[in-house]
Amino acid sequence: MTIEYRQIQPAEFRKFGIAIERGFGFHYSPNSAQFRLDKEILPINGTMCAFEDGELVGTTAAIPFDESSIQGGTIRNAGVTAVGVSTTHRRQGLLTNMMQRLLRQEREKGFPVASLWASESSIYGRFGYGVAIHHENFRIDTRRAKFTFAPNIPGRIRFVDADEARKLFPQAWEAAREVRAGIPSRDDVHWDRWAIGLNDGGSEWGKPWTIVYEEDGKILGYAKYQLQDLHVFGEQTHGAINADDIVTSSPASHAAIWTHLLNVDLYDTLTTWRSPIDDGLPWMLEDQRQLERMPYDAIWYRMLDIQAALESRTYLNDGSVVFEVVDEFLPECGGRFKLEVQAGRGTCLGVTEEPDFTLPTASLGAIFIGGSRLTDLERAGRVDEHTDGSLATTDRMFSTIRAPWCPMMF
Amino acid sequence: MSIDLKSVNDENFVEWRRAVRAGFGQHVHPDDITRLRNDRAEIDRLIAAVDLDTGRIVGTGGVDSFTLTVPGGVQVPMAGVAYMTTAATHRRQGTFTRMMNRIHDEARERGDLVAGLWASQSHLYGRYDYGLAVNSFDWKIDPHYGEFAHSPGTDASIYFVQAGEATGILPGIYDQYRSDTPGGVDRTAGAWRYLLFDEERVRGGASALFFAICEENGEQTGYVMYRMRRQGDSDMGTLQLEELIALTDTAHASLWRFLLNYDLVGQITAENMPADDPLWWMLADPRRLRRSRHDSLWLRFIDTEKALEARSFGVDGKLNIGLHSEHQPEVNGTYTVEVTAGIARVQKSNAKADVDMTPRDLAVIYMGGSHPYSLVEAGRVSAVDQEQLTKLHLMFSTDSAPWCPHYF
Repeated sequence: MTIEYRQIQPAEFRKFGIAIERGFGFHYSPNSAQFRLDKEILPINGTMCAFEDGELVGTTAAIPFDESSIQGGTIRNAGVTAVGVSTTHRRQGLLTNMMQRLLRQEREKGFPVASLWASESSIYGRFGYGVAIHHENFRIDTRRAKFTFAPNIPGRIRFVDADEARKLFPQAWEAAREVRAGIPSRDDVHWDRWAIGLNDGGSEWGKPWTIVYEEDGKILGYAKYQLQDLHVFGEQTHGAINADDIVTSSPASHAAIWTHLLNVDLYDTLTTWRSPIDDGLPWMLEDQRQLERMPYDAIWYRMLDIQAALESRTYLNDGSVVFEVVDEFLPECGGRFKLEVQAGRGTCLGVTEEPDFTLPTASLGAIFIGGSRLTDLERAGRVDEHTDGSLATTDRMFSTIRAPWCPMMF
Repeated sequence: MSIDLKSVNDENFVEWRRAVRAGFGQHVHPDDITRLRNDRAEIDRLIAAVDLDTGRIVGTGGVDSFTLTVPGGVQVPMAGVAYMTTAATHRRQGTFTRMMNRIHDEARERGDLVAGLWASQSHLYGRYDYGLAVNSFDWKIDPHYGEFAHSPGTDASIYFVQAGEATGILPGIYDQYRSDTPGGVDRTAGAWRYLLFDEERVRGGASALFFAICEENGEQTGYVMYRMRRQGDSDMGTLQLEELIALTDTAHASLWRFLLNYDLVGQITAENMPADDPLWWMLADPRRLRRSRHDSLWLRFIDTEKALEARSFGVDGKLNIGLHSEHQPEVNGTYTVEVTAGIARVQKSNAKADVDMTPRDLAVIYMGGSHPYSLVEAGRVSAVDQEQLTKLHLMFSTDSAPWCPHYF
């Protein structure tokens, strides 16, 4: 049995969709609008799949987007998705072969980094990915969620219908991209695909509710949430509220959206996922222990072109370090580099000087966007410091005022 | 009905101790009253609120004296506030506030720079200008998913010791650790006796304590103490971690390798783990480490200027911090923090503030446990511009998260 690795052809897209969804335990049965949008979102030249006798037995793909950085930097990012190996073809190295080819393909297109959401946290470390954005899941009984603090809220919240949400939500998204690193750019195709879910409740959750925060004619925040009625007559059983999509861009929009979510009468068990780890919400509460906060790994980064990547982001603190990156999976991506940051912009060059520290590429991926620290990685044996203090210096250069955040699943 | 604050002495100590435990809904064993008196209580730092009509104690409070390690490694005197209760019969009469004020006044007279506490509930102490300075996590992990993908080395020697031997080894390791760790507090010989007391009634249904020591090149570099919960010899029990202290990365990794290799354990539970503990970064499948965030040490400034001058700062520069407090208007004003080579000179002035906040917000960022932007988003901290917020962020950021391994 020989396995062929290649991009899919246009006529193979439906098979591709079926294989991806099967890998996650679902059947793929899109309506025609979804199918058209899926084809646009997943460009064929971003796929890398495994075939055996013409049969699709493994899938990977990359979606291109621009990642927000701070102070105007943007990072071109290959968003890795659709990763699956057929249950019939496990433990034969298919994923390793596909991933290597996919990453090289995206690097050649000029993407300096790749990133992904991991279905399981045991998979991607070996391919050089490191956890770069950490999130938290929230849960709170809204009856116990009184605010002691809140910023002044000059604007207002209003309900919008699905059409208006489709039109207005992107404005809030763009506003958020200005203030937090890690948020992907989204074009109309992405938003159209996302908007399909607005008309579809799915399972026990009702059709989503959508609100926007408006201030001076600008949309600065939005939320999409779903309700589940648990009411039983004669009992104090209430409903659940799941806010899976909250985007805010300022203290006022954040406070306004949260005030709304915590005051939906009769639905008082509120859950969110993918909240930023430095969210202001706990610090507004009279009793912050009422908010359960469960951290989890969100976005994993993989360096493809270190020089270009480090020059595309901006930095909080100036400094200069030399480091050696060991990349066993894609040796051509490793090497020795000097990063010099002046006035927040970095210059990165290949050098031969003695390094201040040596690290595997996954560790550089982890700190790249400011969400993880080398000083923590060092204690796990994931970076070797040769010059005292160089890791702390690097952490200060890479750190961000706000934790990086990725509110979009891809 | 009038209530007076009185000192505690050997005559009313038993009544005071019973009142403390009753406030937490517990009866207290007579031997444990003696134990607290002998090993832990500083009787001249305890307060009883007495109802003058009945002569009964209706409120309790007190302080354990500590030194707290702050960022940079300086140790500052801290009033460790504990034993705070008001009887259910005497709520809403201001007794709690009077006791807190007395505790803070006495702490100032004694030269404490900060007061610190573990809160039974998180809404109680903000009004007295306490801020949550140290975050921690509660952990659960199935050791079958404890494989390491990375580690700084796990080849240190581990050996078991009995309680008697542990008593001689643990304090030295702990003391070195807490001296080097921002958030660490000291433990007296009495505090150790109190902590290691292990009769059946204090075990909560689990086994007696087990102890293991980690040694590298003849040096003892770490220890772990834990209890087991297991029914019968084939039950996949729970290993309940009580404390793990490691002076080196290898000791940390070796002690965790030891715990995660344990046979017949279906789950390891641990409370109060450091926010930046490196175990998560070592695991081949880190999501298997279930983490849940918890508040740990709360701090309140007793002497704001001296407390700020005690810690080191990440970057040099000058920042005017405006403090505003309803609880203690005497601290209101601008504190000019001028940092040179990491060391701050602090002066109170009437200068225009670059950033504004309450003392409780300053306590939140003081140890480097949280970043100021969260407080900006919450409407608690404001900066005149982005540049000042960046300066505040960089000055107060630390290289590691604070951790307080001692519960009091």
